[in-house]
Amino acid sequence: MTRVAIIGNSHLAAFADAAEAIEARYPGVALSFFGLDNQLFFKSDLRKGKALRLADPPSENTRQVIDPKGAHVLDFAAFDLVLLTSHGFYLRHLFEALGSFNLLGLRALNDTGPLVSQACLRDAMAGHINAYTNRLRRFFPAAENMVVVQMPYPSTKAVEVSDALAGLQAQPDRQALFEMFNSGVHEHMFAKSLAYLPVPETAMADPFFSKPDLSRAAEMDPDAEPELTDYMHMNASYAALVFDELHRTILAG
Amino acid sequence: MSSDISPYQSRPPWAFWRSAVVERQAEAVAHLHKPKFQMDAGLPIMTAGSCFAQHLHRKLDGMGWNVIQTEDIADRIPRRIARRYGYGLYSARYGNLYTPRQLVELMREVGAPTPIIWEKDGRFYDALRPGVEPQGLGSADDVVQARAAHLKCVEIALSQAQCLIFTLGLTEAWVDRATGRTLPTAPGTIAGTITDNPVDFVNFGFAEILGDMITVRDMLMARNPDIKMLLTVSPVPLTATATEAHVAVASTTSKSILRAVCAELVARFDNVDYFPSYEIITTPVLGGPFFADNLRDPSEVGVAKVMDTFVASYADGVVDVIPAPVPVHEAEWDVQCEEIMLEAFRT
Repeated sequence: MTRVAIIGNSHLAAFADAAEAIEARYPGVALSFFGLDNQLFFKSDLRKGKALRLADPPSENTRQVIDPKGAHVLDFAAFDLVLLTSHGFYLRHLFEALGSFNLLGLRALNDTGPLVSQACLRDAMAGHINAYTNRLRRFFPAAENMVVVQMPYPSTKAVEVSDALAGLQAQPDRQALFEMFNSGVHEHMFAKSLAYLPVPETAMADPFFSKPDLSRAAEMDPDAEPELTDYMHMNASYAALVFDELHRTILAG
Repeated sequence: MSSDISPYQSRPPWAFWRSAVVERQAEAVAHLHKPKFQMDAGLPIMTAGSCFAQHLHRKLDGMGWNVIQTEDIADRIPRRIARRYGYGLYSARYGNLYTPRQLVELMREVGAPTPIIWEKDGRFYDALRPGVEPQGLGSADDVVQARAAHLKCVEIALSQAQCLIFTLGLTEAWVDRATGRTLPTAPGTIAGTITDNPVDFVNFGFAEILGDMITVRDMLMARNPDIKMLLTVSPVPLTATATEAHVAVASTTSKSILRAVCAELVARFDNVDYFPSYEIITTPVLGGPFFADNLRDPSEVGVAKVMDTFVASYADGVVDVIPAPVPVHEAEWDVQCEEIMLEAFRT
């Protein structure tokens, strides 16, 4: 039996919804889910021997909530693998930059945005990533069996409700920017000895964008008007693809 | 019978060193800066000058004053990184303008970019602001494009400004021999070499600096007859001198000339004022001098004294309260100053 803990914020829902399908597809896998509030993650420091704690006692319930002030210790050693899904890489600022900057040495996005050097953008990306990996190490200082799962990219349909994302989609050289971003992520993760699972290629529609049928919005009532957050969050089909990638690259190895 | 004996006997407390500085009587402190004109949070302010001016820009911007920002991208990238690339330090991304001549030449260049390009290790730098791209750019054409875009932003800043806050920093400068342009730093400090980019040393005198500042005023008034100018002198001594004088002597000479130019301008023109940050940092007037351990940079306490005095002056008209210094986060002190790089050449 491979025991897998999945920790996450609102993006955890996609994995929880996919739990039955994943366990059916991989019979040797048992999933447990632990919700973790963003604010707790970003403000808590669990170094210096502080234990990861749960709001309620550990039980057979496979869906619990992490609370650094809780009375009950969550022992990562009870799991073969811990997935951290989508707390960091909050990309709004980065998307706003990419969706509005003209970058020196690349084709112009428009004639109004600031003209910014690639070195500056690369440093900005590194700043975002470094800040996130530092937070990771503060909250999970000893998580040697943890895999950081990259935050999903928004659905291509998100451009209908977000000017920043529409700008990003219009970047003529977004493939080069995508490669710049991903190489930075890999570099920082490697430097901090963090295992990392990027968004699977099977989920990608375009650089920085997921396939539209994988978003939460795709499963909403046809009469409903999805908001940006519905295009930023994925559904169970997406989570299943991520787990397939995890199995292919890490579990099966 | 008249009791008038001396012309000093009826002078107020601020006129006497003992009451104004030694005893720091409230009335005397309140007189430290009496603005010639009022500024308020809504006045569009353009900032420029030596690196000490970054403190004023940041403080006023942080207080929500209408500090012109034509090239700030810190809403999209981490502010610390934006500043490293020269964003948000001043109203446009011109870097430090240590001498008034640089400001004159920058204003003249608007609309007709004339870049000077330095190279280092296959990277290309704008010699007129080499510090704003610490790693340089990928090609000379990138420098040309970036300078043209920058000058459009300078044009916007100039067209919006109703007040220029300018900090005079240095009299010594290097002039590019090929173009005659005044540089913020010598070739070889950040990029370029004196072999490939020959320069001549110049130490501007009183008349030249006064003339440059009058030119700046004339050019600003041609755009906006009602414009105000608030001048300060950087209290930061020279990192190095290219004269034969001891650096302390050269520094005093330089600062004295700059300070004298300010006094002359204030005396001549109603729309020019001087704020005494130099005096606050370098003299005991508010308990100083206030220098950091390197005996060059202003200390945090000193900068806080300057800022508090500035705010009190323009909030109330006079300095009637000198608040206790406010601790400032270390990151706030990340002033970008390429002149300090000269230290690398000390043997």
